[in-house]
Amino acid sequence: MLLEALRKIYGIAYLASRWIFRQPAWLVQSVLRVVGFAILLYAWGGLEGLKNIIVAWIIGGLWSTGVNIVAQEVGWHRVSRLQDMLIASPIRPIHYLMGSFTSSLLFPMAGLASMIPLAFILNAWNIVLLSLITGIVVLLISIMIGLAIVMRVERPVNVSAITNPIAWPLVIIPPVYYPAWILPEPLRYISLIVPTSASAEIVRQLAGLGVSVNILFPIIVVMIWVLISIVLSSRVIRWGLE
Amino acid sequence: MEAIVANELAKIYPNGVWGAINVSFVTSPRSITVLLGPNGAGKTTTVRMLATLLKPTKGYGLILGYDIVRDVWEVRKRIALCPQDVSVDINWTPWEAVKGFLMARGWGIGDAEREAMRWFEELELWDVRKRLVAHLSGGQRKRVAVAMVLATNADVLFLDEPTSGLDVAGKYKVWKALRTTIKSGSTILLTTHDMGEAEIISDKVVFVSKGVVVAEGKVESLISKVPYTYKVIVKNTKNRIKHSEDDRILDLGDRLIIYAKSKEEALALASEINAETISISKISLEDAYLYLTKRGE
Repeated sequence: MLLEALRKIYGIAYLASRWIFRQPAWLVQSVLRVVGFAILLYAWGGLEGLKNIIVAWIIGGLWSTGVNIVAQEVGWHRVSRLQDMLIASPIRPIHYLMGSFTSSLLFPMAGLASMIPLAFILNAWNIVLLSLITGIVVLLISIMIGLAIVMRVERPVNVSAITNPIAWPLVIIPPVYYPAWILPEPLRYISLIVPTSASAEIVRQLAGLGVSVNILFPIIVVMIWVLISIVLSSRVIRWGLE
Repeated sequence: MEAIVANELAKIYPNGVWGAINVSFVTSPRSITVLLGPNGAGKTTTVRMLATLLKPTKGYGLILGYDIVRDVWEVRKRIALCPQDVSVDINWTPWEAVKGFLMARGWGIGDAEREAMRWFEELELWDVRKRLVAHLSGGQRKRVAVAMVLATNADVLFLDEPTSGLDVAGKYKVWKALRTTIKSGSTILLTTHDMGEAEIISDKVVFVSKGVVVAEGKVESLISKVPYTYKVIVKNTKNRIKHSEDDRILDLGDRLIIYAKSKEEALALASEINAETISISKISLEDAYLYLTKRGE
C-alpha cells in the first residue's frame, strides 16, 4: 500500500519534472536570483542584511512554489487534459498533489543549495532551520490558495496571469526581504497581515534578528491564514464528479 | 456481468444547458462499443460521466457492477481514459509519457518499462520513443496518448475520439491495437463521428443524437432496421426535382441519394426522374444513422 502510494507520487513527480530538466535555465535563474539579492542586501545591510536573505529566500521561495509553480503545473495539467486522465485512474488527489509539489521543490532547492555557503560563512544554520520549519506552513497555505485558484479558474491557460500577481508582490512589498521594525508602528501591523511577512517576522524574532510586534500577532495571523486556506480549498477543489 | 451499464444518464448544467439527456446502454466484457453521433450529441459528456469526471444529474452508471458515484474509487481502480483533446506534454518523450503514466498509476519501474516497449511496437512508435513529443507529428502524438491508456491494461478503457486527426495508416494502427487490447481482457467504450470507423472496429454501436440514445446494436442489426437495401447517388443537375416528401430520396441540392429495396428498383427510380447515375452501393451504417435519427435531425 505504502509502496504503491510512493510509486504514484514518484510517477507524478517524474512526469511533472520533465520540463524542468529539459529547460534547466529556470533553475539557473533561480540560483542567480539568490546571488543577486544576497549582493543587494549585503550592500545595503552588511552581514545582518545577508542573514535576512536566508529568511526571505526560504519563506518567499516556498510561498512562490505553492501559489505559483504548483498552481501553474496543475493549470497546465487541466489545459492538456492530463488531469482528466489522472482523475479517471487509481491516483488519489493526495498522490497528485504530493507528486506535483515534489517536482516543484526543485526550484526552492536550487535556491537553498546556493545559500549553503552563505549559511556556513554566517554560521546561520539556526535561521535556515527556523525558516524551513515556518516555511512548511507557508507552503501549505500557498498550495491550498494556488489550487483553489487554478482548480476553479475558467481558463487555466492564463493562470499565471492570476498567480504571478499574487505570488510576487506578497514577497517583495511586505516585510519579507526587510524587517518590519524599520516601518512606523501602525504600518507594522498592517504589513504583517499577509502570510509571507507574518512568517518572516516569526523567524526573525525566534532567530534574534529583531522584534517588530508581539510575536503572538504574526502567529495568530498565520493560523488564521491556515484556516482560511483550508476552508477555501475544501470548498472549491474537486477531483472529478463535478 | 455487463462491463458498462448506463441507465438513463443525464447531465444538465446549472445554466440549463444539457450535456446528455437520456443515455442508456450496456456493453459486454471484452468488446468494443462505439458511441456514434455528430458533434454535440452527448458522447463526450456520457464518457466523462462514466469515467467519474462528471456527476450525473439523473440516472446511474455501473462499471463492472460498481456505481460510478457511490463506488467511485473502486471504479477508478478499473478504468483509464483517453480524453478527446488530450495534449501530450511537448517536453516529454513517448517513453517518458507511457512509463511515467504507468508509474503514476502505481506500477513499478521495470513493469512500466516492459509494458511501454510492448505498446511502442504495437502502435509503431518504437523508432521515435526517445524523441521529444515536440518533434513528433500530430498523428504520432495522438498515438502516444493512446499508448498511455492502452498500456494501463485497465479493465475498462474509455477513448474519446482516439483517431480524430489521424490519417488512414494511423487509424489502422490504432484499430489494430484496440482489437488486440480486448483480446487481453479489456472492454473499450469509444466515441467517434466516423461511421466507417464504427463499422470496422465495433462489436456494438450506440447511436446518440441530441443527448438521447436513438438505437443500439450490432452494425448489421442497425442496418437491417432500414427498410431499404441499396442506394443510388444521382446527379440532379437541373435542380428541379424536389423530393422532400419522399423518404426514399435524400436531396443534397445538385445530387440525390435514392434508397430502394433492390438495385433494379433504385435504377428504375433514377431513370424515372431522368437523372445521371454516379454510383450504386449497398446501404451502410451511415444510412442507418440518417434513417434512424430522421436524417440526423
